[in-house]
Amino acid sequence: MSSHPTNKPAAAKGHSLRYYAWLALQLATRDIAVRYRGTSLGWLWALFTPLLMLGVYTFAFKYIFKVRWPGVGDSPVDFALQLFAGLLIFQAAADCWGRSSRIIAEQPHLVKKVVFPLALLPWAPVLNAVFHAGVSMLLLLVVATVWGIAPSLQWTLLPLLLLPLAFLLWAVSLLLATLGVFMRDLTQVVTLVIGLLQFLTPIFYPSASLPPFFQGLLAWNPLTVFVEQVRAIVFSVQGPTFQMWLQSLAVSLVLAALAYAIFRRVRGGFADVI
Amino acid sequence: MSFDQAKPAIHAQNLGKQYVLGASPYQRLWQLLVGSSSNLSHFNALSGVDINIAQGESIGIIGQNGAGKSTLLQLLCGTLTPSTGQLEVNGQVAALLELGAGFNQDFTGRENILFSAALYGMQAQHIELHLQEIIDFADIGEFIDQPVRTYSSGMYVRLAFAIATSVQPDILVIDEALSVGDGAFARKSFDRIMQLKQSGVTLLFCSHSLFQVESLCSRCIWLHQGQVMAQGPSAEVIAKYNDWLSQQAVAKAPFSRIEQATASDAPADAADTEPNPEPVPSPQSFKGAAGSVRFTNLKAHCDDLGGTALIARSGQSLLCVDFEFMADPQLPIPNLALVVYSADGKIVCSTGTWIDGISLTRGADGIGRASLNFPKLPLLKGQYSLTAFLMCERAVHVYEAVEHFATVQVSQPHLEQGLFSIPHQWQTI
Repeated sequence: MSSHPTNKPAAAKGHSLRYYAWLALQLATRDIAVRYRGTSLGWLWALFTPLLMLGVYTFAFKYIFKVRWPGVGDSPVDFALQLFAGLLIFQAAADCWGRSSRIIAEQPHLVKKVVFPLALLPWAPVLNAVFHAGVSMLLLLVVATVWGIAPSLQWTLLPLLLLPLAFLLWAVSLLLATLGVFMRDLTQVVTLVIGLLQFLTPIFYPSASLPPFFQGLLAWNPLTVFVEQVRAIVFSVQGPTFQMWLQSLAVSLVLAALAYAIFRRVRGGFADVI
Repeated sequence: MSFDQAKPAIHAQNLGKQYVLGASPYQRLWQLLVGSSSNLSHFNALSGVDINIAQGESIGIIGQNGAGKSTLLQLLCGTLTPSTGQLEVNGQVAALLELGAGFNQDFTGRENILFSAALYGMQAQHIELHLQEIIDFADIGEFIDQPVRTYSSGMYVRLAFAIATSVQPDILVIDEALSVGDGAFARKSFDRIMQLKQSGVTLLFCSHSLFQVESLCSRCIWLHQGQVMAQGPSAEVIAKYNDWLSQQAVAKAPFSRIEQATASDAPADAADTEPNPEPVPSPQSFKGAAGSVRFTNLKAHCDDLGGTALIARSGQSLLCVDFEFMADPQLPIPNLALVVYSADGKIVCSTGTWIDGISLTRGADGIGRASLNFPKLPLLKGQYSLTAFLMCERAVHVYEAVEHFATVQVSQPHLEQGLFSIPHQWQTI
């Protein structure tokens, strides 16, 4: 290792941001289409899955564990809506992170045979998850309206949350995908952590119902702020603040930059271990 | 292809690639993160390679398996990062390293074109423009709209080749992918590569077929155990490589590495080729598959005794080879070649119709015949073998090679030493 290696893959040069965006979108649409291709219900599964999940969780927590949501009505639908607001964020993260640790390792030909911008690969599960989170948001608003919650103008702000969410998901996905190339056990660990995260995210309870110490702990979970914002927007418990959104965007971008820096540093070693 | 003409296509200095042996992936990750080099043992896949390739040049890369050819190509493509040295690549690289690498089994051929072309670095609008062209070239009919997993391996290769060569690269890297698919498609793909070469694409060609390397590439790089043994004009480097190969082969069994050394335009001595003057009695239409070119009959006989194990007397016997081939009349008339190998696998001599300026003829049914005579066989005692080639009109693409279809055991009445007797005259002064 005498002199510093310099190697700029020619194909990676000169591609515009527009090209990368197109490629990421191709990856994502392909990823989403694969999920429903060949199923008899097709795209309807995008609607049915969250609905069924909602039913199962509501049944379990409302009727088996008899959990009460503080401050809202006692009907199962009230509970279900609160639950769903948290669940749609968590589900997006779980779907995405659950498989991102293998996403580069499973494509040896993209690492070794062609020059491919590997950092784009996590965009497939990320955009997939964000798309389904968007569908779930729409579903949440429809059910809320049907249940009699007056639609408010701030509901239109809901999709804005998807932007910082996408960068957060991508940052963690890229990190997991990068480390996953070297650490084959990572997938197992991630599955466990996601299971734990389900309870460390205020899905089945509002974070306000916890003692202050645990609330502080919960704030370190980057998903918490998104769950809180969805509830704030839909149920108008407290006004969602623009500052809150900016903060989450800033945090997501910093994490993304960090993940990308690590990716850049170790990318050269991928071909050695795959 | 809009770039500065002064820049070389590829410039490498002291290029090397090392693999760390025995390091676990975790150790490797740690090394990369902290940027330390380890004390573990290294394997030098490639070291100290200096290359300078001008734009539009065709470079052959030769060497035995494990010599570092693929490593070098992967470094040039940017799929591997060099451990040492400098590498500068100017222009868009398209690599035919592994055909169909980016295919998704569940998607149709059409969808895979859109996607794979993007993987090769093709711009979106460019793909749309060339979509029909790629489909036409692959020529797999309505399968284009079927999932790729229903494809035969031939269709798979056709589609992959069509995509890879349609990306209009500045530098095309080919690793043993010249003859893909069946006969007709192999020919078509070969023409496509020649066309790219003529349009000024820088070509890097890695093959065991030294003959093809020599005819395609002006310059050649010979790698051995990760190091450049020689580089320079193809003819010189290949001659050195052949010498080296035969030295290596001395200890080995005869004919063990025949595929390493196919044809070469060694001096065609005492060759006498005649196209068969007999017209085909009843002209029929061509019976073979469209675009197919193959041998239909190949026989050697010595002093009217045929067979695959011939016996000849040096300086006296008449060795004769009868060729019969079938070639689609749509294609230009092919060339024939014969190579004589010695027992240790070295080429003793060779001849080809294009070398001797003979053009073959064929009937309307595509069948052509020729015979090749070696009167007063000048080979000296020993065991020889014959290999026949059926080649394209430029004598580069090999339609069919029939290796060692006959052996010739030569005996001699005197003690003359060597492989063959060159015409000579003694004079007493």
